[in-house]
Amino acid sequence: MIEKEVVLTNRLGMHARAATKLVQVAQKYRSNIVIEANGMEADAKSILGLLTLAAPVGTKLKIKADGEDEKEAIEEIVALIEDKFGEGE
Amino acid sequence: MIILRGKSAVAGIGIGRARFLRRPARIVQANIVRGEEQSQIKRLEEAIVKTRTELEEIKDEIKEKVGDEQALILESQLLILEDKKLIEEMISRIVDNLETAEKAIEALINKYHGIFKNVEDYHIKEKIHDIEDVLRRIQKNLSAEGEEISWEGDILVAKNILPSEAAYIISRKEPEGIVTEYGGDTYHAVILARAFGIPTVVGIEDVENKIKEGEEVIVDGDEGLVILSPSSLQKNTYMHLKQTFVEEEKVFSRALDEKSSTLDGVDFKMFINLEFPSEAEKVPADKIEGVGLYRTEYLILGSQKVPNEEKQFEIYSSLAEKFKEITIRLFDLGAEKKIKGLHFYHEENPAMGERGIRYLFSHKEILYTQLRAILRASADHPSIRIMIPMVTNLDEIKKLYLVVEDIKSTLRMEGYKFQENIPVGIMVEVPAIAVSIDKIIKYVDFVSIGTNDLSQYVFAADRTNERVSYICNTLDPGFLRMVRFVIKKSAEAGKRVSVCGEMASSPLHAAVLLGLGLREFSTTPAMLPRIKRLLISVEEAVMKKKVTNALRFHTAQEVEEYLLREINKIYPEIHRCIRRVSYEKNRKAMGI
Repeated sequence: MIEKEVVLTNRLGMHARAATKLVQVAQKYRSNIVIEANGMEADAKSILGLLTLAAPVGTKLKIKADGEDEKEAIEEIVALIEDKFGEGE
Repeated sequence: MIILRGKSAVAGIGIGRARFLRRPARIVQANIVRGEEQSQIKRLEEAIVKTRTELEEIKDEIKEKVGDEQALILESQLLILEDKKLIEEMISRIVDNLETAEKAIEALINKYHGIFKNVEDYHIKEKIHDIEDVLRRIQKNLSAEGEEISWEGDILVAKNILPSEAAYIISRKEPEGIVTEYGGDTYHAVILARAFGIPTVVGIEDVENKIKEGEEVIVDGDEGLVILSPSSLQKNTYMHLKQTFVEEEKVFSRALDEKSSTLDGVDFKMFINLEFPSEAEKVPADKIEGVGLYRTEYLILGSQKVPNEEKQFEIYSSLAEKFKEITIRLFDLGAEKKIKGLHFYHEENPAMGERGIRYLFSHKEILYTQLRAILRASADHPSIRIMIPMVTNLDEIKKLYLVVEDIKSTLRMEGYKFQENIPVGIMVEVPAIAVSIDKIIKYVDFVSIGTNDLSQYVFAADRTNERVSYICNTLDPGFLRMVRFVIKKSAEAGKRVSVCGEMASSPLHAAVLLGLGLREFSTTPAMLPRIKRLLISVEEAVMKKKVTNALRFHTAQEVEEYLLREINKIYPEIHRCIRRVSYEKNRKAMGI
């Protein structure tokens, strides 16, 4: 298992559209992917899980991936978050 | 007879019997016994498949009828439906607690309400409606009949209309009118009702107890009133108003084929105001000069998100393809148009706060994305013009030009083409810019007078506040003088000037504007034929003289009475064009 920390920098935080994109990326991988924020954990493949994290901008996220494609999964997810979910904000 | 006062959401009049939104009965049976789990799971799976098909269908229908942005909400519902976590939770409740599928879903709805209640972020909190919407749909599909939310009738009454319900009922059943408790400008049902032109009143508290099922009601979407069990006089008056309006529309539409020129040969131009791309179908594009005001913020209202550059580029290009000219107003956000999905500061007085171009300057990424998309679309469409909302002074205009130049040089480097001399104009809706237009005009390519906000700021009275809205009378001679000053100074400088506010869409006011020297009118698509019929039936010289006379009066009432009298005397045949004005008087006479 590998893990990585990243800070949510898009202005709206983990809102519906961002969560949707994250789920779509996570679903491409076979690994188990968990996002931890504020002491809560959510399955990165579940939009409800991500929404219930209710993570605003500035939240520190810990991404944990476990599985054969864990490295690629974490890289793409971190890139997506660092790219502010492509919102250009 | 009882009158309920709500808020006008979509104008127009709807008459008929009240029908409540019937949601399928929720049969939440007792628990199952061990051994029945698999059959419950199978029922659940079948219901989920059916739900997916339904959501896909609604999505396609909305996409086709209203546009991509409105269909996005269904896409996010599809993702919720496919959420593994949600399905696992349902199954584990069936297997571990021996609950029926119905009961498991009911429990999850309650659970998520509990979770989202504590979420502070408003736009995440709002997602509970989508989650409930999806779960209720699965629940409904569990019963063999698969009873769809049923609704048939004239006037739709509901405390709250969930997004997919709105999509389903409004686009398929097209009610005569809608009355709800919840709702505002960004409410999904309201956005759709507007696209379909269904008179809607929102904000009626406790609506399901105040209105009786089957009761006769009149929805007055112009005034935000709902009249219960109207007297026969009221009913007849409203029916008559509605009917004549519809019949007259047919007559007026013939004006579209005539040359835009007054009786004495003065040419003018007719444009439409556009909120949704789908409205572009309402008036034949080849019979008007184009779009005088495209309110781009409506692109955001539906999806609660700023469309990305590519998406905006496509929308602007395809609209520009249809019309001879299109004036794209930059997002006018803030004040009453606060989008849940975007960031706004708390303001004590939002109408005078960070709105229009002020908001865009402090949210540059939104401004840059939009300007890039517009500039790129202008490459193949030189008919595109840019309009700045809520400009107060020259500093803001210069600041925007710097941004535009900055974007142009980036686009050049990236190899994009665009119109080098794309016209940039301003909305005149802040009194400060109106009174200094003679100095400012040389810095802009065109101006458009937004009489709604301008009057609100000039009279310091909120048009939506019924206690003071009567003060905002645009026939006030002082206000007319200000409008005349803007028209005159712009024309003298050789710049184009139009009016895109409500004044241009009201017949009497449009005639007055003609007399004040206006030649470009941007109206709602619905009112355009009527306004054009009026303008081609009068002489510009006569209107100019009458309006000049009218300006000698001291009150709006004197101005209105004088002009109505004179117009009726000289042009008795155009009386019915103006009837829309007497409409309100009629209602006042009825004691409403």
